[in-house]
Amino acid sequence: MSKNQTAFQERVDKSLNDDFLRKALVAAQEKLRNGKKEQSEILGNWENWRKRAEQIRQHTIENLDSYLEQFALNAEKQGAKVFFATDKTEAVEYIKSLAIQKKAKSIVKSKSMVSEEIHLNQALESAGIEVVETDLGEYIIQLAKETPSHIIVPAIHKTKEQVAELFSKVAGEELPADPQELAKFARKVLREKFLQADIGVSGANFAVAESGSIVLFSNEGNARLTTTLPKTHVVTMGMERIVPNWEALDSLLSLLPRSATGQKITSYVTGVTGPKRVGDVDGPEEMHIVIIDNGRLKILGTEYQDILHCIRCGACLNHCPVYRHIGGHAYGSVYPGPIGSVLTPLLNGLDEWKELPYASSLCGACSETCPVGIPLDNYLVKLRRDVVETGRASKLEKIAFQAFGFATGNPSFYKLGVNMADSALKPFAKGERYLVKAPFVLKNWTKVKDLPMPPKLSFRQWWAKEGEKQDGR
Amino acid sequence: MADREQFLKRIADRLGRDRRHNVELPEFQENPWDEMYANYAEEDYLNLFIENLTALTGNALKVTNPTELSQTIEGIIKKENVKTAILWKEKRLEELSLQQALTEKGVFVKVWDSALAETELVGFAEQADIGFTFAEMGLAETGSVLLYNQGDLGRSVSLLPRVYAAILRKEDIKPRVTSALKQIREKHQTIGLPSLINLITGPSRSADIEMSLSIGVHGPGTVYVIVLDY
Repeated sequence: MSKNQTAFQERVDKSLNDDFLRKALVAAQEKLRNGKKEQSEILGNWENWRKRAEQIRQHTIENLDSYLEQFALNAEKQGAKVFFATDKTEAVEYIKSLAIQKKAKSIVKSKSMVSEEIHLNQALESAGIEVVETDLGEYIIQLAKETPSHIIVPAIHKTKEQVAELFSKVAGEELPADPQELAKFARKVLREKFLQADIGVSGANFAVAESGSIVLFSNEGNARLTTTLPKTHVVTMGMERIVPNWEALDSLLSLLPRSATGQKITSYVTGVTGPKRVGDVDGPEEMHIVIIDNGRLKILGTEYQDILHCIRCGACLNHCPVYRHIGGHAYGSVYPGPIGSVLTPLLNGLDEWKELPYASSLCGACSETCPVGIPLDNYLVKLRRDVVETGRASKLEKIAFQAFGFATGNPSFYKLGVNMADSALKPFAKGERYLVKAPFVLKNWTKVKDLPMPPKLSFRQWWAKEGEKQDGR
Repeated sequence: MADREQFLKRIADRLGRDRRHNVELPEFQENPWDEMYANYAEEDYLNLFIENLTALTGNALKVTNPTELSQTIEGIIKKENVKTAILWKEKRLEELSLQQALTEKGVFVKVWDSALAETELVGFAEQADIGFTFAEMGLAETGSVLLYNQGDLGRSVSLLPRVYAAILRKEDIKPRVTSALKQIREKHQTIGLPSLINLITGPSRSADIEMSLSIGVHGPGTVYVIVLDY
């Protein structure tokens, strides 16, 4: 068993024993799923919308070199500086040296998954710069020194009491465990940070090629503050975030908030086209756009290419029975849930992440709900195939399948095994019907769920005894 | 530093073809939104706009003459305990004599004049009780308003005060975001886009603590849209 696999199982165990987490996940999933269902019904024609979004994503990724070029040229025409970064080191170094050059003391950030991917905060903090996450959920987990456990609701694993404790430390006085009061406190503290910050770092939900604009979706308004108050605005974006033109944004804008939280639209949809112009009063003087590859290139041209269609709505997390049980941290990766189980091994290699494709029941709920039609469950199966074909499968799994192959290939041995199964497994059973602590290869199964006992009679035995009676009826 | 052309060439190589330039999205013959709101009249858009904004705890107030507008503004001042206000320097707001209306009711008003210093305007907006802007378009399906920010139309006016009020003409309420995106695209193709565009839908909100709704996290916690029906 690899070191990482042990860690994975430890993380899963930890999550399974966290009662609050499990309840919170069930409630959140239900709320978000119902919201999506309701809003997709109100919108109507969901499959047509979805098909259109998929067509646009597919066309864009198939022509990504052209659209990235258009986007960069148009953004530069509006006065933005565009930097292409092959990997996390290049991206981080560019932003860090910019921050040093600007003599930045403090940086405010609005939500960006790709900045988590490149570990931007740690790099900037190591250069002695204060980095403040301003999305309420991200702020909470930054104070707790944790990582997001959901793409859309990053602090879903935290209770209001835990949040109150974290905020009370900042306040220097005891704050009540009341979400509205806590949000009010965060507004006050973070508003000061916004007013003082030298640089604002945002992500990009979409980047419009025809005008060189960045489009940001936010509910709290922190993305607007990040792109308005500091003198320098830095955008971190994965290289696949492109949309060809403003009208093509329609289906994506119509599907993303509905799929994510069951909202018709986020409170704010903000289009940023370059830094402020002559005559503008507020807005940043400089805008830097960092376009990041960091493992995406090698997915292009493979059978997994469609994973780059993802618009980071999190719907697959909200529909996944495995995510519901183990939560985001158990995955150990920046992107959790089905999208994480596929994307992480593709971005960072199977060596370190080969157990993620197995963190799925292959029920297909993820593929069914995906607004851009990514065949996630199909990809999970393919990745498992890759794990086996490249000799990365665990020894245990290999032995189990060899034994299975031998048994099923030898009728007399198979018969013996089937007939003995009931009595052999009896010591591990709970009552007559379920196995709760199975031995050997079945151990990993019964750790998380009970396994029905094999029937007392095999089908062949039963047929010999009962079959003829039935037949003669 | 990554060389741009190399970066793009590698993408083309992975896709197994030559580099492409200036690709355009093919025109689609049919769109999922083609049949939507086919039987709606202007009045229906207004009602849908009000319904959707109200559902988000926003306030949509229809006025049919200048007296009603004045009364509505007085009502907002009282309800929200407004002492200071910041306004876009905008022709349509001037025509409505909004500044006078507020000043007469004892509100201290500053106008976002791009001749003034940033620190002065942002500093005032940050402390102001309410910010007033005009809206270019309203979207019925979502209860959104569309703003273009530039020059005298500062970003902070709709962002920093605790209350935000937009003034919208009834005829500018369109069915859905499709119309806004079309207008933005046309603007891009003709006069070009301003540095900032905002679609604002109700108050600032968050559900980050135990999925429980909090209003007014970073942006305004109270939003009014005054719809001019005259």
